[in-house]
Order: sequence, then structure tokens, then C-alpha cells
Amino acid sequence: MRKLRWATQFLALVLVNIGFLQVLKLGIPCPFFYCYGCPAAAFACPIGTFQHYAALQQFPFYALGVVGLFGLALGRFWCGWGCPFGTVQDLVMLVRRRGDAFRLRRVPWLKFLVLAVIILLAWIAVDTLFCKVCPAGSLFAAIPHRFVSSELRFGTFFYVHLATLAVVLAAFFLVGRFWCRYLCPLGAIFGAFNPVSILKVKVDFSKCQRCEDCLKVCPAGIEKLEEIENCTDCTRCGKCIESCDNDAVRISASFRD
Amino acid sequence: MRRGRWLTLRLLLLTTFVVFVAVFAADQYGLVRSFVRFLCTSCLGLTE
Repeated sequence: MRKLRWATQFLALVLVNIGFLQVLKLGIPCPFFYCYGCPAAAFACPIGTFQHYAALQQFPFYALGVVGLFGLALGRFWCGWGCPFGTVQDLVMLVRRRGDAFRLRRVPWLKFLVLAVIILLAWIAVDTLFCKVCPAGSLFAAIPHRFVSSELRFGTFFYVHLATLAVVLAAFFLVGRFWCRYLCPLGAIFGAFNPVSILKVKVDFSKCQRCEDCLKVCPAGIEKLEEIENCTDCTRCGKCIESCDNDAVRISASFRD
Repeated sequence: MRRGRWLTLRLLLLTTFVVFVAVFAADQYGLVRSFVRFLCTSCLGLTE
């Protein structure tokens, strides 16, 4: 499962970056951060699209419909298996070769607050303000876009992008999946779908020995076995499944249960 | 929640999202796309 996850993550990373070759401009919102500044991939980033609609004071039927279908199918699976920014965080965890510097408490509501503030600011300011500081946009659009298109010049927000990217990269070295756990507005949307998504991670308590090995390896910082199935922080990465010697944790897909 | 309720909820959500996409895709696509190129490069802090 670990190899399969890395393979899908790198595939998503490649797909996002071949945007610069004018590929993958389908006009479909992606289930992860894919800055549509690279270059002008309309609708690609769901958060960017929601901000545009908020600024236009219109309801984002199309974008919400597509994101809703993604969420209903797989919940936050996209975060653990597809999101390129999640891949960067996993790579940082791989490089640092040790556990988190801090054991931070879960704050599940924080990312929902971030999402609400982003949409509210776009509504009030009639502008996509979050895009101007988005660290994922920095890494996958601002920096490569500048070097691919030599006619573009550096502006103020380019440096703002670099600053926010530097801050979150530093945070990744201290706390694994920091962005996903505390700040990601798209993770909030998909997290809200975790309880209702067709794909779920389930614990079979008849097999579970309550050793909690699964919780010790959880990059989302889930603290209770009972929270695994419906928790808004679970990215369905499957590390809990790999760690369970009793086969008590499994991924299941059912429309009925 | 009982099995039947999950099924009902999922079917309801599925129908809602499919309707959102089907009805409004053609209507709103051109509108947003027309804004995108200029706004995106400016958001990235890059100017032509």
C-alpha cells in the first residue's frame, strides 16, 4: 500500500506540473490544490474557484457539484493519495527522519474557520485574497511560472508567496502534515464528507487488541480508535492499516453502510 | 445512523451534486474562465 500511495502521489505531482506544457486544461476542478495560475487552468483549484464565485457574489454550483462528487466518493482520500502539497509534506517527513518536534493537540475546527474566513474575505474584498498568499500556489505556480515565462517580472505578491511558503515549510519540519491538519481549507471541505463518503477506513473491534499502534503512526494525529472512521482529519493514507498486526483496520467502500 | 439512512443521504447528495454540475456547467464556465488569466498572474505577484 505504501508503494502504491507514493506512486499515485507522484503521478498527481507530475500531472499538476505538466500544466506548464498546456496539458490538463480540462476546466474541471481538481480534488487538490492545483493553482490555475499555472497557467490559467480555469476552475482547477477548488478554493480559487470558490473565491471567484464569492467575489462575483454567485453560488458556485458547478465547482461545488464536482467537489461534492469527489468528496462523496472518497472523502479526504484525495489529501492522502493525490494532493501534491501533501506529497511535499510527506517528503519533508521522509527527509527529517524523526517524529514531530511537538505533540500538538488536534484542532479539527480550525481548518473550517480558515475556509470560512477565506470565502468571507473574497466576498468582502471582491478579490481572491487567499490566492495571493497560498503556499501551494507559490510552489506549483508562482516559482515555476516565473522561470518558464521570462517576460514576467517579480511583483510584491511574488515575495509574499515566497514568505508564506518558507513559513509553512518550516512548520512541516516541526509537525508532520501541519497544513493538512490545521490549515487546509480544501481539507475542511473533504473532511466534512468523511462521515458520509463511500470509501472509509473502518476498525473491526472484534479483532482490535487496542494496542493503538495505528494511532501512533497516524500523520493526522487522531487520538481515539473510535474517531478513525468519521474523523474530519483522516486522510485515508492507510498507515494505520499497514501498522495493524491483527488486520483490524481496513479500507472499505460501500454505498449502503 | 441506520443503513437505510446512509443510503438515502448519499443518494440525495449524489443527485444534488449531479444536478449542480449538469445544469450550471455550461452556463457558468465561460463567465469564470474569462476572469482567470489576468487574475491568476496578478495573484502570483507576476506582471506582464
